[in-house]
Amino acid sequence: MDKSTKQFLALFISTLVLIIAIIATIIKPLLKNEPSDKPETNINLTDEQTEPALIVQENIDISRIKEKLKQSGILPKEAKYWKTL
Amino acid sequence: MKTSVVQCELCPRKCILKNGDRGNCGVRINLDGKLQTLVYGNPAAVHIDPIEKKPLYHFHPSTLAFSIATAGCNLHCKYCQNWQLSQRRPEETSNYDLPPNKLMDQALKAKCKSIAYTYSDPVVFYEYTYDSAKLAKENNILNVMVTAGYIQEKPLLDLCKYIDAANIDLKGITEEFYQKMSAATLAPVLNAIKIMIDQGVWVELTNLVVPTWNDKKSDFQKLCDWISENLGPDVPLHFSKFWPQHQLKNLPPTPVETLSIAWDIAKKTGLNHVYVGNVPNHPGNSTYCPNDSRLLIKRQGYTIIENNIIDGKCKFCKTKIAGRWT
Repeated sequence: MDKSTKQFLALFISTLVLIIAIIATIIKPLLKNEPSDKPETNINLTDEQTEPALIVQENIDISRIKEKLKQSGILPKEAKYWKTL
Repeated sequence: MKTSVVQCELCPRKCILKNGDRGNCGVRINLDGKLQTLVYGNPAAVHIDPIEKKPLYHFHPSTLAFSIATAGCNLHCKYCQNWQLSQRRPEETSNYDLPPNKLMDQALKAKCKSIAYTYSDPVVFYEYTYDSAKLAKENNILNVMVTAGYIQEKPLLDLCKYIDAANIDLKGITEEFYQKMSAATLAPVLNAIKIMIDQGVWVELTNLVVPTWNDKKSDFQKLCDWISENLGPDVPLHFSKFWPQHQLKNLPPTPVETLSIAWDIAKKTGLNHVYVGNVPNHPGNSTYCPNDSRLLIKRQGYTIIENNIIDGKCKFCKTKIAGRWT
């Protein structure tokens, strides 16, 4: 084998190794490894009860609703047959 | 954190409302954690009608009913003829200022025998109906409801103390019909009919016959069988002609022949008082003796031309005729 052929082969193989290394770096996180005992995320789960789902962010502008009703001449009156949840 | 979520318990929908939300009916609202009605004392329709228009044919005939309704309804019937009232919110209608005491004054001035809570549905203006009916009773004015009967048991029982008569829509006899036509359910309506009768309210039923929806012979038979088995033969049943309205303008009016078929089926099932409504000059406009089939009350539209009921009995054979005649 002459010198130029040897040089060409050396360059080819090193390029090939480099490409394989890059591909390996990319696909490694996508492969499932054997499960570990510790969770990967930082959630600290407890047995505490969460608040009831009925608590909602109250961002309705009630004063605006009342004002609109007043402008329409509607006077709300307490209804019968209801309960607070 | 304190919740301001409420649940309405007036009708079977049992709407859950957060602050600022309105119920399905459009006229009850959660304001700061309290359920409020928006239709107390502010009817959008006020008329004086003959009682026969409700229709009530066996309840103080030839008298006048002072008739009121507010905006809103807890049903959404595709054929509603009063949709411009029932499917509106109170801020979208022109309303009268007519609290119960003023309503009483007007009814008395007009010499009306009864007050009718009608057109949309008195269930949704419950508080106004309740207070007015209570006051009417104190003033010897009768109370009439024209309703779809879509109400919970407790409010209905409480209201029945003041109601003298009701025309209840029995729109169909299947859950599927009620779901598709009215976005409601059938079972609470059947329960309401039974409750009102048990509570001593005079009840007449109306079935609007809609082409392609509930106009088969099997529909009529099933409806009449339920009435016969659960209510008995003396509850009057009105088959009413449909006219294209609201979301069903594509359909034709009910053929008179279809109504005649319904009338025949009901009589053959053993129901004593069956009527055909919205069809002038049909024999089903009149009342006949269940014993000897003689003509008792001849009607032309809402006007009584001839009346052969005396002291609640057939003039000819003295058979007692179901109803509240005086």
